[in-house]
Amino acid sequence: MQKKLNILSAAAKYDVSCSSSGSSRATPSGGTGNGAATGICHSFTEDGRCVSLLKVLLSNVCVYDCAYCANRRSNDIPRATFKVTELVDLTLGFYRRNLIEGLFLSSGVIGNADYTMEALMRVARSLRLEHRFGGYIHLKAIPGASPELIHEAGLYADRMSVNLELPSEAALKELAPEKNFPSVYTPMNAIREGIVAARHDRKATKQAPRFAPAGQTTQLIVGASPESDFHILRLASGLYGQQELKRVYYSGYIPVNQDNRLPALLQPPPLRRENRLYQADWLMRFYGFRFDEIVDPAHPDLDPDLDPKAAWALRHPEDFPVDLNRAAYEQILRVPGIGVRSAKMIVQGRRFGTVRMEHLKRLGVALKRAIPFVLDPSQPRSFRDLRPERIRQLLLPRPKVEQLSLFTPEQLLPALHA
Amino acid sequence: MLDAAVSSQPTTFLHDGTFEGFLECVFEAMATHRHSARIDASSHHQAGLFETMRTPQPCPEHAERVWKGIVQQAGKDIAAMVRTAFLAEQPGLDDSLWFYLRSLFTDPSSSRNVLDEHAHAVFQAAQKVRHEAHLFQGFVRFSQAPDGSMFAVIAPTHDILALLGPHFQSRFPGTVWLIADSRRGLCLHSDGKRLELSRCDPTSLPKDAGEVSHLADPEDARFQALWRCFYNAVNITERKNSQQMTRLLPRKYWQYLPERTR
Repeated sequence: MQKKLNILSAAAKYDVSCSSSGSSRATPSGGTGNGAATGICHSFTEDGRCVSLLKVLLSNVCVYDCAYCANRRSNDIPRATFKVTELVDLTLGFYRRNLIEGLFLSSGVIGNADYTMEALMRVARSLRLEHRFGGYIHLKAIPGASPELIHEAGLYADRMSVNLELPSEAALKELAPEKNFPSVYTPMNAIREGIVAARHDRKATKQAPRFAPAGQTTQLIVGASPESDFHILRLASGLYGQQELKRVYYSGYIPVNQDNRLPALLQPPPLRRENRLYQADWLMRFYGFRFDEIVDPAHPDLDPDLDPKAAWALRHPEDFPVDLNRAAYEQILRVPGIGVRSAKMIVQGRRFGTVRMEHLKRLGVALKRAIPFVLDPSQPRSFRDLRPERIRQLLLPRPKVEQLSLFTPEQLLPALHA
Repeated sequence: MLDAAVSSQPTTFLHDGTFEGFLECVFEAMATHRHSARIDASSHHQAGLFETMRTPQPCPEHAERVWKGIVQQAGKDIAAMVRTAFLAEQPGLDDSLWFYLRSLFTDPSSSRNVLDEHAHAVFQAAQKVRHEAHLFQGFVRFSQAPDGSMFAVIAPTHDILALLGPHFQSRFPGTVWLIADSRRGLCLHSDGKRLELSRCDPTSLPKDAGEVSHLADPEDARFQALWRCFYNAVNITERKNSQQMTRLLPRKYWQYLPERTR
């Protein structure tokens, strides 16, 4: 059992989605477990990622041969498959000990897409119906699975996801020859329709069944194919808009296979780029930015040295400095170094008096980034330096300067009385 | 003459560390018009040279009156926030709480003034306590005792044990469980229906995850081993980032986490 768990959780680790938020399922009567709307992290692994769900594959046997995947058919690796009862016992045993919020279940494709989807659905059904489990369940929809199966799975899951994996159809054709965009978009559409329909029905009567109440997500691999950040963010923006996704996850590509279609093994994963993409994603979801404000055809890639908000601010000197005591909330939110919480506190605080520079640090503002963009009423206008190229220098991470030593042996001077 | 000299000395009201005790001090300070008095817990107060210390007589009625006053002036949310902030057990916070309450009694609208130093300290403390309570919803590690009940030991920075009750109560209905706070010698027990907070001897409690496992059912060891196996397997070695890990999972919490103790 331990060996199986080892293989199947190690095989699932490259799926970055971990959140257990968005569902406030009540504990079923006579059962165990509920959903905490905020999500709860139970531990953090050495790579700094949160452990919230028991993240495993049902099986790492796969009929596909995708170039980027560690579980592809042509790899000679140990294979294992969970029985439904084994996985259910493991989930409940972990849950009772408060080690997890629930189950994240994905799988390699065994036989065909429908067979695999049904196996995943049966695990969720057993947990929900036989064991009256109210904890969180995240199910993967297998590309190419039929809408009927997806619909049944959505009745048991809190969240569903289909991974787009590659940001363009060309890259998908090249690297995952058995998959295509329609095979991904069909289940994605089926999930969206299920969510929209259930939301509509539940408005009429609260007895109507829920369908993936925590919404659906997807994952994009970054750095395995040549797309620009502009391309990726345009795609993500569309997924948030038309597909109404809850989250798009970006996964910096980690070479696991020797393949001449891909970056070489041992190359470090593009973590900086991944981080900038997440920052841009946050700007789109919580700060009211459009994707084409963050990147545009003239600047197709995010600046690795600057966070995307500061980069945007430097391209728009006409919008600054912002007067925190008068500007609208939306404008304050666009100042680098000011987050959602600080912006709300500034708007709340200024009803009681003038917000001054000495208040900002207490309100959680990152001063180093914010000061060049904020109007300080106590300073004469002529002191302000708004040239973007100057401000940029202030914001860049300082290169580490090595302190020169006064007493290195070679530089010792001869004694005067020699 | 002597009386005047005594009353001009700074006064500190001392309480026994409970929220009710603190409210009694607030009552006493208001009733005797000592608006610049200070409030602290008797257990860790360091007396100043020219300071007069007073310990009000325990009087639940007075505490009740102050509590009702807060609710009436500022509403239930602010009152609950004040109670939460008190749980931070942060040195000097009692003064801020008292100054905050004093200004709230004169002007109820000031209860949301984030620009005020004391109000901000109170908000921040409440936020810290709520955050730690949220973290411990995840970091509590239950073990199964031989009699089938579940038990866990924690050592949180703030006094958050009571805040965990409703969460686990609704998550595991009908389950008998116990969570002990080894720093404060407090136990929270649920018989499946009702919650009960009691005192216990902190030295009798297990000191780390290893000692906890000695008290557990032998079957429990299997799940602990599986958990450790899972924890190590989902880690991506190429992305090692210990700094981030210790930022999110500070060392002070490792003591009772089986996956972080060797």
